[in-house]
Amino acid sequence: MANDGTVDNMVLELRRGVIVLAVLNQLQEEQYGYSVLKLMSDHGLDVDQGTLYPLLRRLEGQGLLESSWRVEEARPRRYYRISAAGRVLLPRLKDEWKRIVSTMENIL
Amino acid sequence: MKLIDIYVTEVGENLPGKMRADIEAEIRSLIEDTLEGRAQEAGREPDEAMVVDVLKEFGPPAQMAASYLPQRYLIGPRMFPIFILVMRIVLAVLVVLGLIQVGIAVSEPGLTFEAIARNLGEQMVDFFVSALSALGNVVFIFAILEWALPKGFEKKEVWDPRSMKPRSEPEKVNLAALFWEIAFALAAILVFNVYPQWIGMTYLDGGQWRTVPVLSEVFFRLVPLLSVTWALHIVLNIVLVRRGRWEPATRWFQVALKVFGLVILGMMIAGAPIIDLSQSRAVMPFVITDRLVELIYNGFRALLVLVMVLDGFELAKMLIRLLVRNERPLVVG
Repeated sequence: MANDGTVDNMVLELRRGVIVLAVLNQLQEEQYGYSVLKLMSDHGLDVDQGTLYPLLRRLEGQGLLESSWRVEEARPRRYYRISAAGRVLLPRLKDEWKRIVSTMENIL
Repeated sequence: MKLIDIYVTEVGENLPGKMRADIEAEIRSLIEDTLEGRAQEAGREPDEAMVVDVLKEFGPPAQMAASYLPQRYLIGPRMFPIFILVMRIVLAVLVVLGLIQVGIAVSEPGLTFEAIARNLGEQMVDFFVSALSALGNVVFIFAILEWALPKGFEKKEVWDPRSMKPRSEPEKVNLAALFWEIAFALAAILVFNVYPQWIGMTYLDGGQWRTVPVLSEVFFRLVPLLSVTWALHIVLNIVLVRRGRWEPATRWFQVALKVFGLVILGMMIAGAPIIDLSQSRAVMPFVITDRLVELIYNGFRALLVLVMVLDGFELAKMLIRLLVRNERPLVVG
């Protein structure tokens, strides 16, 4: 019988790819880290800070996001938005997601 | 907000210099945004308890820093297979060299049993220190290679199933040979422990056959060790008869017996002669000169040295097979 830790890890693995797609989709409009977190949570996808914030950096490193600091607000904030390469990739990921969902519905 | 300052600083301490300032600034901004959001939800100003809750959600500084870094290996998956192969080769060479050193150390003439035991102890310590140093150097070199080689340097080839090397069939044993070996070992234990007087030079004395022993007191002091070796060979052969084939555990046991045998051979070579012709000389119809006796003793010693060298090569082959090639027998359906 799988213990809670194993189940949590499996759920995390299941959500890992989904979070990337959700983040790329959300960042078609410019957002800062905390606002992305809130938006995802409002849509029912809870992601913890330790996962989301490094993910934004990694996606930027992969050329799928762009970022810039804004210092004119109450506090300096780093804003992220999807890059040109990300815009090319996003529809493919969406199609692949729909294919996976359809396949899994048949399997399950 | 002192806790936040400490937290951000500790995260930064776990980050490489070039990304530190940027990530510190971002994390501070994220923490303060989260705190502001919580304060709005709670309808009160942020206080220390709220700060503690938010920082708990962010997680320990080292863990937060690690999440920003790629997975780091001392020796990663791409280098690990060749690293293991090199370690096996180095270990096999060290073992063979160690055994040669043991052979040289125990083959000094005139050594007592205690001196041999002390030499063996010293050799084992030396081997352990050399092995630690050599294997540590291998780890160091591979760690540098892991760091220095660019990612994706390894060629990505299309794998062809026909490129797999042929494997040996499960190593079946020769049952007839095993039974003979068991019989000989039992006979050796019986003869050398119960009927040692049978081993000697037989001559006709006034119509009666007599035997004078040719094995020395030195040899008989080694008989308990030899008996243990023969008994262990019997155990090994019984296991092989039952299993019907060689397996890694039995191969390793065979290696251990081989090493044990080599040590005993070394003791025979190093110590006083194991044959004693003094009684034989008295009863022979012809004169056996001192020179001839010396020649026979040295010839016998040379024979033992030859056996030791051949056994040493056999041991090296066994170790290379077990450690370097690491061949498992074919798994047949």
